[in-house]
Amino acid sequence: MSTPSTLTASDDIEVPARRTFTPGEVAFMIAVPLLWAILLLFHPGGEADRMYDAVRNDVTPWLAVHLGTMIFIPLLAAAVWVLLRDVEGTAARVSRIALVPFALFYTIWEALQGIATGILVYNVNQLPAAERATGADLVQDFGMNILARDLGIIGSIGSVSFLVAMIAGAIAVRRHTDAPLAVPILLGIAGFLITAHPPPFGPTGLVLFVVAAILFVRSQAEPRIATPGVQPAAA
Amino acid sequence: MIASAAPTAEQRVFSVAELAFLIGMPIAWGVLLWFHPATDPDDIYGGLRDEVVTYQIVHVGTLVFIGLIGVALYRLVRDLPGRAARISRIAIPVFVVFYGAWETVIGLATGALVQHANDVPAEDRAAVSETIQSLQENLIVGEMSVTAVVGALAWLTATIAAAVAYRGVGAPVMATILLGLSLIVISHPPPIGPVGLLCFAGAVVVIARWRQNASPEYQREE
Repeated sequence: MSTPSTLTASDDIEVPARRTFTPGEVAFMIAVPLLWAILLLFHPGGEADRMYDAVRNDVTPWLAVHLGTMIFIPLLAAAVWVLLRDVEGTAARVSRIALVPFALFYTIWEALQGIATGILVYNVNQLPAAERATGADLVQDFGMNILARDLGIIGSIGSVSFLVAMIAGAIAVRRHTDAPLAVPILLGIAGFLITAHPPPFGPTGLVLFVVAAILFVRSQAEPRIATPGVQPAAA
Repeated sequence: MIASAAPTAEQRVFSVAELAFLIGMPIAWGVLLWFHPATDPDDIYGGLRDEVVTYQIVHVGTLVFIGLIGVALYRLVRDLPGRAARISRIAIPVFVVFYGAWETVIGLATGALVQHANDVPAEDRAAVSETIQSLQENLIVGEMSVTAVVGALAWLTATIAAAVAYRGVGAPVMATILLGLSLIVISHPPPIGPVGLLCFAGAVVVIARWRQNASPEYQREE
């Protein structure tokens, strides 16, 4: 388990703690968002007000993308948690707490809007042609349900939680580490883009998260420029 | 019966708020589950059409409680040493994600579809009912599906591993038994679900008392 390497100033200058990451942690923080981004490139598009028509010929890729996404949502939460694990302060704590409702509610929303819709479309495809209009209405009504729809109750809780997690994480990284300014900016932008997960927004946000993670890891590994009066604390 | 050992310094006494959460939450969920309407697996729409609001309320609540029971079990095992505790901690998020996703489709999606079926003209109801029935039989998220099995196995693993972990640190046998019995929560409709949740709350009481009755050395360290 990695621990932050701390520096203390003999003349009360506060020096941010530094994180060390294992190669496995770095690989995890890069691989999870990248793989998810690649998967999301296959996300079928279409009109939100004609859901059955949008999905009926793409049921297999629709289901494959959303089943994978269901796995990647908690994995991304774990990647953010690894990034912020030893960062101190209220903002970091808020971010870690917000990851829990994100993982739960965004996954649930994904199961409703993605998987359940896909299965419904598949089932409607099996109905006799004369009954398919009724089935299409069913799919549309389900997709517009206050729980399931985009900006519905469940999706909104999940999305807002992720935004809170990423913005609070960005603030924590800015305040309590010596990461470059690009890291919190990229984390904040990534938060907004990832919650709108179909391409191009989702994959772009995930790539920005990877860039932020790499910059953060590199900044923590760089040697500090010696400052008069500042010495590494005894381990 | 094997005598129980005193908790170690790492196994702290629960705070009052923590204890209220660990006992009150499963009891509250158990009460909610008593209102879970009985369903006929061969005629989901017929069984639910007159109780769809109750069905939806129970399943929206259950969704929240799935996350909370995951948090509760994590708080029980987070400071326990050993492989069993580690396995339990790993299985908890798998349970929350997969059981939550399954519950979403079987509970919320089915409820929304039954509501839709109630609103369509009578001549269209058969087609909608057929679609609702197909959803229950789906291999990915249906009643006996991959998602359901993974979620259920994760809960079984989490609770049994937690029971083993507590036995490993010398907790009373009753704590191990009750925690192990709480695996039946996986079949959540009454009476099984509420009984399993009562076992969970009972296990918390036994564990809390065991932690409270720590050695004098431990009390001084606190």
